[in-house]
Amino acid sequence: MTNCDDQGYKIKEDFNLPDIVDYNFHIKPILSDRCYKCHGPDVQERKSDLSLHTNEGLFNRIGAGGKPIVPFNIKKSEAFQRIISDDPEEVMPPADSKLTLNDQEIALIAKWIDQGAKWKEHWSFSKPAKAELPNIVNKDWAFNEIDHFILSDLEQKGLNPSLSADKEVLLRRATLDITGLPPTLDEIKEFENNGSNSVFEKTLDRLLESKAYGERMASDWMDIARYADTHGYLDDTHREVWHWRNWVIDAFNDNLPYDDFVIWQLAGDLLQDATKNQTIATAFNRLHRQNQEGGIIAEEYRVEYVADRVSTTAKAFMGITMECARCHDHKYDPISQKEFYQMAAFFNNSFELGRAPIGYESGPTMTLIDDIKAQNIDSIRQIIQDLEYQVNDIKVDIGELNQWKKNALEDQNWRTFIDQNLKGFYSFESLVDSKFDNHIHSKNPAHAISWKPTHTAEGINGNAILLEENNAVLFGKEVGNFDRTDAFSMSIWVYLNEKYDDASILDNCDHKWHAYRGYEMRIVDGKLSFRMSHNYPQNAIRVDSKSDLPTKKWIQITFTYDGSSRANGIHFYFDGTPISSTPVFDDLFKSIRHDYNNDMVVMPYFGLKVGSRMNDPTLLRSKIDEFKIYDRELSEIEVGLLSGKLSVNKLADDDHLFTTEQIQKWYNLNHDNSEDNQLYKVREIENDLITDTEEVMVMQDHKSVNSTYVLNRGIYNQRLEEVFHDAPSEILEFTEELPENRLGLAKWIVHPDHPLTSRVVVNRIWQMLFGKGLVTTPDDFGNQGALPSHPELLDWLAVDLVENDWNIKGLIKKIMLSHTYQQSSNSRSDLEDFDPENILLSRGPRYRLPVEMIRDQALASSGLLTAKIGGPSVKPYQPEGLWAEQAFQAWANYEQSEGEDLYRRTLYTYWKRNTPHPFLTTFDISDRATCTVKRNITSTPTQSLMLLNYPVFHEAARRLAEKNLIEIVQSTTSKRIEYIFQSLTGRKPSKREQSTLENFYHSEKESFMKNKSSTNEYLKIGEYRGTTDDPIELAALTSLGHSIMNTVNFYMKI
Amino acid sequence: MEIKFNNLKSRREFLSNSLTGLGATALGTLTNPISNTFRSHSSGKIPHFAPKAKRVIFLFQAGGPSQMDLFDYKPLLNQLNGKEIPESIRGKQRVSGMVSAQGKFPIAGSHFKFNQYGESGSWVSDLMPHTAEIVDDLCFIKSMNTNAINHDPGVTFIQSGSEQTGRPSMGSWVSYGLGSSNKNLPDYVVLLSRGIRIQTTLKSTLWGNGFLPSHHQGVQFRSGKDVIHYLNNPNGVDKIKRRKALDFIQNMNEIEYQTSLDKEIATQIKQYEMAYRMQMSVPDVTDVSKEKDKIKEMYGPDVNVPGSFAANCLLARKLAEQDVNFIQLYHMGWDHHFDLPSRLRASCQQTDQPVAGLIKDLKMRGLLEDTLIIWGGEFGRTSFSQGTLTNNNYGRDHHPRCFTVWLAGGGVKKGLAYGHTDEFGYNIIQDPVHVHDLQATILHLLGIDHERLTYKHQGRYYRLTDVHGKVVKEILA
Repeated sequence: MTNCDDQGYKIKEDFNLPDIVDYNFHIKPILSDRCYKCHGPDVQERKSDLSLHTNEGLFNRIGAGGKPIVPFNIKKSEAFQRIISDDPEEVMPPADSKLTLNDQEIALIAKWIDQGAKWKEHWSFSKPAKAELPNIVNKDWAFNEIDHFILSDLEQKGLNPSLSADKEVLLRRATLDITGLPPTLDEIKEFENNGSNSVFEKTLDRLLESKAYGERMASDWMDIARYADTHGYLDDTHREVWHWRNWVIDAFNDNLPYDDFVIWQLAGDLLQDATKNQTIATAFNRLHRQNQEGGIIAEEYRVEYVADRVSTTAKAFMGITMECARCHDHKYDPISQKEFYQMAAFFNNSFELGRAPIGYESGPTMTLIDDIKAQNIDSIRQIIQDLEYQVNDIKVDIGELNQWKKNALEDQNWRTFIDQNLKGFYSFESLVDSKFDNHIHSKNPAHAISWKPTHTAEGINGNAILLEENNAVLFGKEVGNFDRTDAFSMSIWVYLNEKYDDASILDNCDHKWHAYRGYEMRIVDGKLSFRMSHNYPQNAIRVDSKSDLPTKKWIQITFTYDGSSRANGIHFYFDGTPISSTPVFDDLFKSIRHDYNNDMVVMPYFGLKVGSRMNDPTLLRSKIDEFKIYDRELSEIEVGLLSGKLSVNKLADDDHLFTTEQIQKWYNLNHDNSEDNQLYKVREIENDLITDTEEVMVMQDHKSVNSTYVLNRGIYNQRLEEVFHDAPSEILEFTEELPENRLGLAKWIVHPDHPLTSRVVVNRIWQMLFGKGLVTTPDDFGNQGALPSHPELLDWLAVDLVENDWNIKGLIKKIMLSHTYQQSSNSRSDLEDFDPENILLSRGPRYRLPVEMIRDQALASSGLLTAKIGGPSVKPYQPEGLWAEQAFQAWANYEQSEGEDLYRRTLYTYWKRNTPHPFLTTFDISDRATCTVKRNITSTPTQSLMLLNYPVFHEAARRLAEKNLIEIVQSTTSKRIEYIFQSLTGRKPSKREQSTLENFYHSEKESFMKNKSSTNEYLKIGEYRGTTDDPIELAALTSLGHSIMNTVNFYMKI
Repeated sequence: MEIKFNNLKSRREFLSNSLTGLGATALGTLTNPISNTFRSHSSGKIPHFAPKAKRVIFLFQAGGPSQMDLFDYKPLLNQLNGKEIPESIRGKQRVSGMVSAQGKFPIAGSHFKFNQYGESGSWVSDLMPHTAEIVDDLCFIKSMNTNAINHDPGVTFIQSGSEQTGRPSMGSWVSYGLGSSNKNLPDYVVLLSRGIRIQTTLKSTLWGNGFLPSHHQGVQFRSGKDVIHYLNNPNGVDKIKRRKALDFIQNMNEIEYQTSLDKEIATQIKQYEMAYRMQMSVPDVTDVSKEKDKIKEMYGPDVNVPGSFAANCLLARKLAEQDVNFIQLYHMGWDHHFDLPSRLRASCQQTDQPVAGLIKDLKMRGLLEDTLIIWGGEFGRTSFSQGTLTNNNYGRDHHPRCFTVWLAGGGVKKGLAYGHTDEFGYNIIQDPVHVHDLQATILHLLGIDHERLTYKHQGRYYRLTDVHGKVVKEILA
């Protein structure tokens, strides 16, 4: 060891420093943890223009000062000298940072400099390559390549691997790992009796082919995807999103290659001719929490969702913590704030408001239609198309047309025709009993409702309504109750006091809480906007006028609609003159009528109204007059005539004022014909069929892309520079041949050159099988993350996975076929101090099972488990009143499932974000708030209470005992005990265990015999009712089984 | 990738290098011999300095109590009742979506009479006659402010230091920092009670452990049969049978330990013993039937209604006596957008006497000295009326810019009013205290430096106060 006395620092011998100090493994973790905060990738925070995270920064002169690190020269290495400085003004890190380096760490840095300070790129940011298999002495031990890497390490440290696990232990381990369920007694017998060399491999094949495999894999993926059955935040209402979970289960069972698994979830909707499944997969990026609270600014949360998609995508697939770069440049990894928003640009084009509606699915959604219904709807749509063509094609002889026109213009006949369709006319002259007359149907007056009195003021004709804060005029639910299939028109006079940014003129639609279902006429940025919505904006039409509405003068606004559900079926007129307009949204395909589950009404539907809409801006100090409602489309000529702008005489005299088509349209709208009626009826049928379908949230890109900006400190409305889609280039360049959308991003992530994706998934599968990954921070492969324990093995497996077309089942099988996996998990006295955490893998995996497996094991081994795959979430036993005591809403009422749904696999348990099932949270399931790729494994007394007292374990134990008594009529006590023990633990008891079990059994039997009433009570736990000839025997065996479930033999993986 | 610890020669070398040598044993959790994660989770030994309080009772008033109707006396509001609040005061403040449609923001004077009480002369409205009796023990902070304007982010923020769900709650941090003081009860207990007519939704993630290990999770004590989920033995299983079963379980586990030498088994055995002790001790500690009537009367008539705020206050005292470190009460009834005069009165009637009773009871027993009590909600309310202001009615919307909380007990100055709002009760004009400052102060009183109570998660050291917060030294005794 060098004596560096002359350099002002002596590397002390007693630290046992490694012979060769490695930058990535020894030095960078110190620099990242202690120095990067001020001298790292974050440009804003960087002090003295010194960056220690780059090659240049470490070795080049800063300003007039010295070089931070000078290879082979400790004395000239300024950074090092500052670290060891005695001067409190000079020492680094500074005292106020509350960070320090210990002597060992300082010695490591010194030795590294002394050895030439060799710099290396971050290990996970360069493409993995397959190294040659390391040499091993004990060649016979290796079953496959994996073992070379593990054993070579062990041999170098003078350690032996452990013996192979017993056959029955191995079968249980493998069965739980692949299916999440225990092996059956028959499977155990068959496996034990089969002496063939390939029996384990064949067993793995059988397990990987079982449908339970997909369920087991989906459990983990639900954590990563932050799956929940509710939206979270204050209102936390239901979302129907289990369709996505079904897709995940199937995808794993079909062994969808991992690259496709990624592509479909990120961008399946953008694939050519995207299938239903490819689109459902994209629900992945809609599973984040969604806010519904009344007072929120929706845009703030829309921005939040986009950020969540970025963080989740980065963490789930690439193992990097992008979210750190949302408010500032990443402090540890080479990801700038700009790059965060460049990636956000991929996810910023969705059709959404930021507020999830209550009672309806949160758009964008995909409609789920079965094939037969889809065919029906397709053929009906064909009929509609034909009929529309026919209706438009109806032409009368020109002579007849002229004759009709002449007649219509005589004696105001045209007006008589229109008046047949005039269904409401309100002139707002005077308020009598808080009502305004309807001049058409006196039984349907308009009601002024208000927290303040409604006032009238001078109008265009007599009086008008003056709109003030919190007043509104209601026309009742019978008036203007149109669906998208109805043709209708309205005209209204307005006097606008000012130019409004966003205010309602009239609406017949639901509150913002309920997706704005219905239709409405608004002013947006001074322009007229008409909307019809099933679920605004993604199932809606919106048409905006191109020109502004005038202010401080009376104007008559008319709109006409033809019942076509198309934006081009809507026409605007100001003072009788057609106004050109822009279709903003044009995708309405479900009913706009009001129909909801009664539990979910937060704000009631009031019907057609003008004026204030609860919580939405009003046309303050403006006036409204002469409101007319027609139940058909009006032609341009009629609107002109009604407004007075078009004179009858001129129309009569001037044959060139309108085209023949325009006159023809006027004629047609005044003549019913069979095609019209048919069209209307067929549209109604189509409307009913399509409206009555389920929907599931998906991703969908809006044609006109939103602009994306860097947001100052991540705040939604503090926009800085505009940015465009791109991916972090330090990881891999986003090249031009990639599509410029989410699909491009997905392809970038699974690109064979991507350094992270394959490593991250291999590591996660390793974690699934061994309890911890080769990198113990599966969510952070960056500078602050842990370093791989076996980097060459990780890289070898990563490359191998890509070479094998991302075959996940193949990867699992390969790992499980290794001798490493098949070792006994017993600890050894020679390992206890040396490798207590089993980092070196000198023994098999051993840890408490994930929560799903604990309950599923009980259900499966007893025969209580419901053999059904997929479907909606279920509600097993839960402490009574738990939801209701935390929330007041009507929907916060837990309705426990019945029958077979009480015994579904645990992954189907309903996940209410605000109050998840306590059994799950007690056993360390992740909170599903954000993407989580690793669960804690803790042991707590509340877990013990769950296993001791949660009813399903007693119920399952009873069912198991009953099964034994029914299946095997003639048996001995010791055989019965063995049956129960083996069913629950996968192995036969040892002699000592057998005698402990028997003692307990006898003592239980005795105690049940003494107390028959408690025996009967004990046998009634849970809903399951079986048959009992011998309650004492059943109770004793039940108690035995239940107690076995409380031993480590049951709830641990061994 | 070629370098690993391949060059380590002996077991001794390996050991010293990976474990003791690199100083990773501080909490015994980081024993990965390969990873160079040198720093322990939490720096320094806790307590970082001498604590003033040993435990916390947080009386959380969910929904946002109206400060200008309770403690922050603003006579100007009554003088200007009905007048539009000046633009200069309101500025371009963000209003919640509940009132953004309102064209007018008329000032609403409080309907309640204010008086000064105690030697400290603290202002209290006549809605809180019992609190008025204990003001000399309280330290009011009238200059609290927060970032959030809606309930869910607001409550989540004050409880966890972040507006987004997923961080550990304050009680979990304290449990993580202080560890256990009681071997038979959880470190962190949560009690819920409901308001009258108005409720503010809560969620169990509010007392969640976030990324901390789950034994730091708050344990909800419920009224009724099972105080803790599945605390009681099921039907047909009595104490004796349970004890026998536990002995059997332990025997079986010991046999497995002898084969496997797995140390986790010892931990499991301990958890089962602790569970058994909880089964014994929790019903006892939550049983208030043996309390003297005289004591119960201090908490008001609702004390006999299980699950009421009053009953929870009494229970809080009992838990404090048992050295539970963090006792978190939530009362759900303070969101008074409309009909404030009658609804606020109802909320005060439910809570005023129990709170005063608790303080007096703790004081009597000498527990107030080392117990920190905090009363307050997630934000305040507006001095303008939400909805229409009439002669006998008004409402108030959420207001993050200022609100009042009070602290009492361990290490806090008595009879102090700290911080000032303007005459309109709209903005803070002196000594603002941000939520992160309050959190830093609470930890400080427990002997914890909020900057040093950290936990590494996903590459970053997290703390309750994020990167903010300063201790409010002026209120420390």
